[in-house]
Amino acid sequence: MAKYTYPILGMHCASCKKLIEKMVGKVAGVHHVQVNYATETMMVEFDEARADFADIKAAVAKAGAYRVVETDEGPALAAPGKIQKPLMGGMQGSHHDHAAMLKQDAYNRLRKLVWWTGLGVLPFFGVMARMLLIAFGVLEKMHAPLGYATFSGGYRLNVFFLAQFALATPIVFFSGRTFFTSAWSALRARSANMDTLIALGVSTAWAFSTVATFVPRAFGERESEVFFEAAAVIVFFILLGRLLEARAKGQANDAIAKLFALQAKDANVLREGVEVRVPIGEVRPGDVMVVRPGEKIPVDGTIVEGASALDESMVTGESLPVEKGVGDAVIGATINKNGSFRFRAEKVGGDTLLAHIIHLVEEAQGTQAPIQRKADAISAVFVPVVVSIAVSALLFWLFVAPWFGWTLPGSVAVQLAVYIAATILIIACPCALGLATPTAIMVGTGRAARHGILIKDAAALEHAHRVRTIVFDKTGTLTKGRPEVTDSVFADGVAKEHLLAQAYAVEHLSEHPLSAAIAMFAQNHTNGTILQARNFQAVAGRGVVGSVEDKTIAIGNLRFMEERGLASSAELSAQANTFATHGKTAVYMAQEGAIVAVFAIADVVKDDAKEVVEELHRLGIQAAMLTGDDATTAKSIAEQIGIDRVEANVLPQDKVAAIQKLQKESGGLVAMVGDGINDAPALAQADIGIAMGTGTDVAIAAGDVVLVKGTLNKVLETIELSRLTLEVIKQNLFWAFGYNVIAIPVAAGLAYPAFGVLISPAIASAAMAMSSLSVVANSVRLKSLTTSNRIFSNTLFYLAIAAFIATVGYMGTLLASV
Amino acid sequence: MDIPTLRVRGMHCAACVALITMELDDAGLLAEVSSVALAGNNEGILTLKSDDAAARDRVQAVINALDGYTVHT
Repeated sequence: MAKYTYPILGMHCASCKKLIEKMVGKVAGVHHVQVNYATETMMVEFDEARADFADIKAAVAKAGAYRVVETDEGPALAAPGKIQKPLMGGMQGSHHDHAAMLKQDAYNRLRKLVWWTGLGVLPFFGVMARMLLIAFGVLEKMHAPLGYATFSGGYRLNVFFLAQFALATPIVFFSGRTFFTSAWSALRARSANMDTLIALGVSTAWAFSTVATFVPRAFGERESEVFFEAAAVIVFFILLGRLLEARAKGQANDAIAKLFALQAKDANVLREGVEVRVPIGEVRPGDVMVVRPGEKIPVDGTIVEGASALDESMVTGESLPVEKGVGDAVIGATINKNGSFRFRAEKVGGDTLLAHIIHLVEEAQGTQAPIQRKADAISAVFVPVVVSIAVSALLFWLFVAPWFGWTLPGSVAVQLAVYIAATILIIACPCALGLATPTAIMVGTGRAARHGILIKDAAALEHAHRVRTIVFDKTGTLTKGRPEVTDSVFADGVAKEHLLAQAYAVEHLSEHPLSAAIAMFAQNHTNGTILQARNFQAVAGRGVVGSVEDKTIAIGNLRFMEERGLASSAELSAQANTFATHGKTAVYMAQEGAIVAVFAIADVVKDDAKEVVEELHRLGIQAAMLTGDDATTAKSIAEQIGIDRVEANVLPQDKVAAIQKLQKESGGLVAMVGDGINDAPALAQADIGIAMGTGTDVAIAAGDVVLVKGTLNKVLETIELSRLTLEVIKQNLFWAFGYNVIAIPVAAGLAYPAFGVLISPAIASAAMAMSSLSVVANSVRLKSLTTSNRIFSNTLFYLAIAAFIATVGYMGTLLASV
Repeated sequence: MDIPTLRVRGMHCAACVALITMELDDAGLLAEVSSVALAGNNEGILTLKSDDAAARDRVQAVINALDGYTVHT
């Protein structure tokens, strides 16, 4: 049974995922199939004697417009002993790189299409400008400014119209082909979407214009005008909206790829007493592995010989190395610091903690709902209504209006009827609706980026203002993430500054984080004296010792002091105990035979942490803290900052459960702020995942929002920007719909009998273009919109809308007969 | 005579229509249904060929068993 993972493109919702799983599951020989919507991949387990990639590809194609690419899963997390096939074409890398490449390829093709369509549409903007100049009397109206092409029998074709036909036809049927195929798919499902309306409007304008070009008097004695510009401009604006939306959706998420990259690629295994280096995929439970200083632990297991300090920060997020000895568990992908040891492998491949974290991130990403295209949901009702109005108007102006004498001068009823029906379909095209959200999101994300807030998921910007609970990781998020000396006490009578110079001389030779903290503290508090240490020695798990000015200086933990036969005074002991109750680490300094100082070391809270939590409370947002650290330290930090709810000793999978529980209990959305790999599953599970830019690559990749400099007050800025963005989106949607509500009745000719106001398809397309531009302009306002200036800015915006409506109405009266 | 229909909550796209059609086919119930279509507002409509209560119940059971879809009355 072979297991492969393939990238799949074309999925747009969870239903697509289920459909593909069902279709592929029916292929004979397929044992198991699982599709991950968020990572756009499909894992298939099948009997290679009964099925192959071609069968799977055919099944996926049968499900719908989906595309699958043959590739292979990355190594090592597969079951041990499985033969790994190379990727197609010899390319290496995880399947997730391929998914990102395919997405980027699709985006590049769309961008190129929009670019070329834009070039093709430029002449049509000239056509529309010409019409305006005619209306204002600047240009003389000429039906055939380029003359006629004359054929035998008196048949002639308007060259101006022919040129437009030649330009518009490829735009409509090549650039706009996706609208027609999508509308057809919806029709087969007996439904309608935004593409249905676009396809109807575009094809009506093109078909009418084509007939009017090649059969000039098809609609009456007077040669009809054409509306090719309407068809071409619609296609361009819709494609532009799609492109902006794709950009606004954010970068492809590569959290999984970064987690994969953490694994060791190979391992030192004892086989029959001989040490051999094998690929990680060949490690089996029970193997005894050898690990040397600086090497990565290959898999999960238990130490059987030796001891060392391990850097587990990439998995647990905690900054201090952890001492390990015989019987202690080790975690794959962590780093061995300074000792050598042997351990027995217990969990390999997909059973390791790292694999579990990857699975959690994948699951969490797969359960998040995609951004719904509001326009499609609304179009299902909107489109049939508009089509009904267009058909009704057509019939009315064809059969009823002539009875009242309501016709266009010099034309027959059918020309006016088709004219009005085409105008309704064109003016009802919800291009502005398609642009309303993505343009605001794009400007909002751009503004956020300039302020050090990277929005990777556009939905995060749309929804952040609805957050009611923010969960913070402790280390590196609420705290600075590195140990610092917070307190120091010295024995009576010692020369503190000189003592600190001695401490610096010894500590700066050690790489241990606690030594670095003391060295920095000492350097900042000496009188500039530089001393040298000799005979330096670092004792793992205890401390450091060296000779300075012929005096033995030892700095380390209490056990280190006791092993050297040293005891501190009652006063210093009491101080050390006080430090411990506040969750701080006590480090002792001895000079010759006496303990002369105690340093308290802790990971201090960030300067703005308390202020940010206070502001969150003012906004009605609860602050919670999840940490893998011990309860004493966690509680101490929480009290300093004002955190409402604390959970300590939390494992990565427990963080996900905690977020899920809050999501059920909270009346609003739950955001998570974190920086470590252990935070990645929780960041993915939260409604909004906010990663600190100073954290690990995996957390950054798993978050929806990245705070580049890791400053907490940017959380507040993100929420404010979300509120402003949503306000602009609502204005855009209101305007996009409002425009249709006002324009459709006028396009249907309601104002013609009484006021002579009629909107030509050309003006309809211009008005439609203007509505799109006004949505874009409104979104651009977001660049400088703030809570304090929004009332003034909104007032200006509404005045501009009123002026626009008045202008369109005026142009309608001017151009009724153009 | 009223055409018997079932309204299904959770149907929002062509993939949903295809999925439900496939599930009914697998259950041998597609012959009881004359059409499966979207009705907008996250709902779909199944038009049944007859007003046979047993057939209606079986179709309803198949759809309710699917994750994300519910026949609502």
